[in-house]
Amino acid sequence: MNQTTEEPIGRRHFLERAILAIFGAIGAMLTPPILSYILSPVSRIREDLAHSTQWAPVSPLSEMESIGDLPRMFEVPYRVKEGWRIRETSRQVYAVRKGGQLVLFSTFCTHLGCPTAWDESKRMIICPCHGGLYNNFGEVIGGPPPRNLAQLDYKVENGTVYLKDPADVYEVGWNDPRKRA
Amino acid sequence: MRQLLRDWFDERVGLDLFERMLQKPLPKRGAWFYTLGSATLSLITIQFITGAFLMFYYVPDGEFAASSVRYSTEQVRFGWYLRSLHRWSANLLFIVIGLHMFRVFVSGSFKRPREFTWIIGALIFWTAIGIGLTGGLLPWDANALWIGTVFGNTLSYFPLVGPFLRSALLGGEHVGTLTLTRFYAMHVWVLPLILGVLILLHLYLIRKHGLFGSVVEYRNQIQALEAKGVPRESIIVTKMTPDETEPFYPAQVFRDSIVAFFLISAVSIFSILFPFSYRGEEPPPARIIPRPEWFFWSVDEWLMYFPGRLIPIGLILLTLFFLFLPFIPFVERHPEVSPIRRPVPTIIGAWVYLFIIILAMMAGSRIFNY
Amino acid sequence: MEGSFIGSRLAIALTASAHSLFATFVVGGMLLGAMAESVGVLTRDERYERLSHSIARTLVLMSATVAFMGVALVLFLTILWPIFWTLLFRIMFWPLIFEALMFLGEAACLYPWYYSWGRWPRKTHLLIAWLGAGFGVTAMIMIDTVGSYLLTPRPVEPALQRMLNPSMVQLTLHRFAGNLSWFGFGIAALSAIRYLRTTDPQERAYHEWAGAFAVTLGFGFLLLMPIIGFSYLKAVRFASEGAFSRLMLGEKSWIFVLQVFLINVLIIVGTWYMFRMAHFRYKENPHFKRYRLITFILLALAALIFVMPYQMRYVPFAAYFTPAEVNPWGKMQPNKYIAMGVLIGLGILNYGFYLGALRFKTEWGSGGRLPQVLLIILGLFTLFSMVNMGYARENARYPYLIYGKMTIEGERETGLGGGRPAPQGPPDHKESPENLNQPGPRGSEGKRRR
Repeated sequence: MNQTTEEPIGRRHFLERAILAIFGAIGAMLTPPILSYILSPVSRIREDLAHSTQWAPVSPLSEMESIGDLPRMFEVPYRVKEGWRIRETSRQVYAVRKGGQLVLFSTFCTHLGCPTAWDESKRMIICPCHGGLYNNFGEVIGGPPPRNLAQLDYKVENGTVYLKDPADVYEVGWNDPRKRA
Repeated sequence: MRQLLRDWFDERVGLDLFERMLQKPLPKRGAWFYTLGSATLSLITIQFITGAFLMFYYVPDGEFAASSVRYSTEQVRFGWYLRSLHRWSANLLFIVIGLHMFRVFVSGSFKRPREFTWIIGALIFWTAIGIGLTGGLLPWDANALWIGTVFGNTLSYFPLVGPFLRSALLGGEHVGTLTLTRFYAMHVWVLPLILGVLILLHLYLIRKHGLFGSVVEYRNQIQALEAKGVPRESIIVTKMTPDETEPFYPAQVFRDSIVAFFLISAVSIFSILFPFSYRGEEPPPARIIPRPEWFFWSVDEWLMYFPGRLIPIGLILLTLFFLFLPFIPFVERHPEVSPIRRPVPTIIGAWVYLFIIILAMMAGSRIFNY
Repeated sequence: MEGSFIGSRLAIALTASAHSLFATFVVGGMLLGAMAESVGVLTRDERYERLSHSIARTLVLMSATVAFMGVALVLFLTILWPIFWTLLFRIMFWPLIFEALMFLGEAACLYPWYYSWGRWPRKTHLLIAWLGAGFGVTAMIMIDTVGSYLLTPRPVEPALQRMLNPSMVQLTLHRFAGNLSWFGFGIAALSAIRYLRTTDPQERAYHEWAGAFAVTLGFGFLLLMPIIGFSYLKAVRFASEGAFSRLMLGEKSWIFVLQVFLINVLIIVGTWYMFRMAHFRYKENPHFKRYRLITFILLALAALIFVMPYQMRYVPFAAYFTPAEVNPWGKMQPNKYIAMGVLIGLGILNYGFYLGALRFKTEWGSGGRLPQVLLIILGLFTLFSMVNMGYARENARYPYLIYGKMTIEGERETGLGGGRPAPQGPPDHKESPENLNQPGPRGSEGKRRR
């Protein structure tokens, strides 16, 4: 392009700035809506939890009577709200008797959330992902997990054990994210 | 007739531009190593083609995704073939990208003035990793679910922003319907679009500098350095005379085609011999062992070394490594390109590759045996 | 109960450790020799040529010893441990046969490599060297499948499972890196001795250079060793929990305290050597002295934390100093990890500086005696730590010969204890492995690794 010398430099300068401003405005018009569009589910986590199952039945209390100090795994079905849908799903929990007291704790490894399992021959709870090891009470005995398996709240009603907030599955880290303010 | 047709097109679309690009000279020696880049491109092309057609039957929904994958694998004619092609060429792609990056690093092809070619290459590498990661979730079997969970939870260890990143990525508290749709959108549109743009930029820069670029462009710089009194021994680059070079077309294109042919044949043969079938009935939940794709094995093993409170350190070191990749041209700035004459970067690069391979092997053994 | 086996155990221990010391030296030497010759061809530097030639001579001298020790080992196993050896040979028939063949191949490459020096075309010569190295590494992999199977066995069928047992890959990598590290430090120590014995400045220059080159490989692979070892122990813990507990938490835990001490010495002495060699390049830098001081303080601190034993009662002679059974400061997790990270991280950093300095070193042979003495110390401590690790590995699976499958008691029937009636008990050895590991569910006293 030929530089037209008679054109005042001020005009050219203004046009350049104006182009920048126009594209800046277009960007400003598009970016925040898109960002908040993407991040919308993050702000709805609490709401979704509130619409999910609050108390999920684990098993009749009579079945739990026979549990000793070795953990037994239970399948807990529950409903979870995911945006526009309410989905049926399930999770596992361990039940064990610790000092005469029934304790329920999660099967999700506190390292990266993999599903752990009780290994009968090694007498440990083992996480298959990165080799986290827990004892029968879900306490860390080796490997990378930063804390013990999460203890879960439960209640007994009409002879059935109910698990509190089964849809809240974020359990990794050395602080229990459940206990956030 | 042919000439006539050519002229007709030339007048309307400007063929001479492409012809000039095809005539760029490049060195005769080591030309087979230069096919690695085009090999990457041909595998990515396979990915685009097969991926587009896999979308014909795929439904990105938590309820139907698994069934639709199963349908397209088991019922649709050649569905298994397309899906296996897609996965096998993805697997090979990471090997070829790794080799290509090593070749470029060792031969110093990222040096001035080609820093941006390297930077964009590094961005392509990031994008490819992102595509591999998001694609792992789409079959929506038990393994895919856990891959998503583990990835999200890994992010949650970033100090301060971790939990936010986690829920922003997963679209909520856990891997569910919303996770699948956003991973799907990323995998089939957002990241491939970025990848396409980056590849075009990469190709443009390669053609701008030419594979021969280094020597031609360095000559002035070397003279300038010599004038300053820098000993010639430490700045010399391989001298190349015109009879050591040849135009890109047809010799190099021929080599590229040979490599592309062999790679794609290999992918096809792998797909026929070892097709990715649908995993069939899911095992009971307690028996599920999440298995990452092999190109994440080394990352997986690396994260294992940092227990308890040290987890963020491992994660941050890993992130720094990836963030460091584009900056390599600005760290190693002297004009020497020969790997023998700059032993320190060569040795360090070899160490990094060796370390990654060792980590991957150990993770593989772990995953095989658990 | 071990009484009658002491002799046979000792015989195996001596031949096996001698065999493995020489064998690892040969495998590492083949690799490093081939590497040195290739670098020599690429750089046209005659010192590499001379180095690889002298490596070849060393290896030729040694491979006969390896073969002798190997045969002696097999002989002792057949005579003294017939049941164990028969069982193992049945399970691992092909790997063992293949290993012997690979050793043959290695020797068949080694001799022409040495004796055809300067006569064959360069490409053929290099090919022979790399072929021999390949044979050596394959032989090592084969024997590793056997060795790792002893500690972490898997079902015998399918063959892939018994070959790729849980600790096989880790053991192979550990030995691969270890061989190169051991050979690097070993050859560095040898050239240090040569340096000290000669006064000819040209010879001195060469030997000093050879030591520095060998350290680049020895120290580089040394830095990988704890990382691979960590993964290795994790695999052992997962597959053979009892062996891990015995080794890391139980009565043999002093071995690892000793090993950590050796690693500390290797890293600190190695760093010292590298600082000496890199001194010429950085001495003008105003921060150099401060950096060196901080490095050594940090290394010493990390080494102190890293070496702290947890189970005081299992450390020999500790009872003379303290009545405590366990260290009152506890196991110090994760401080030990941090200490290890500091040792490795600083090691990598200094290694980088060392490489950067070596590139510009032109005057060789005037480094004085101290660096060479350091090299000899490095060589000796590497030797010591190899023996120590071998001892740890073979002791971990006691009282088993093949972990969870066959005990020492199982050998007694016809072994050196010969002629006795087959024992009916004690049942605790005949039963399943978990009986030995831990009697009940794991206690909640928060046992953590190491």
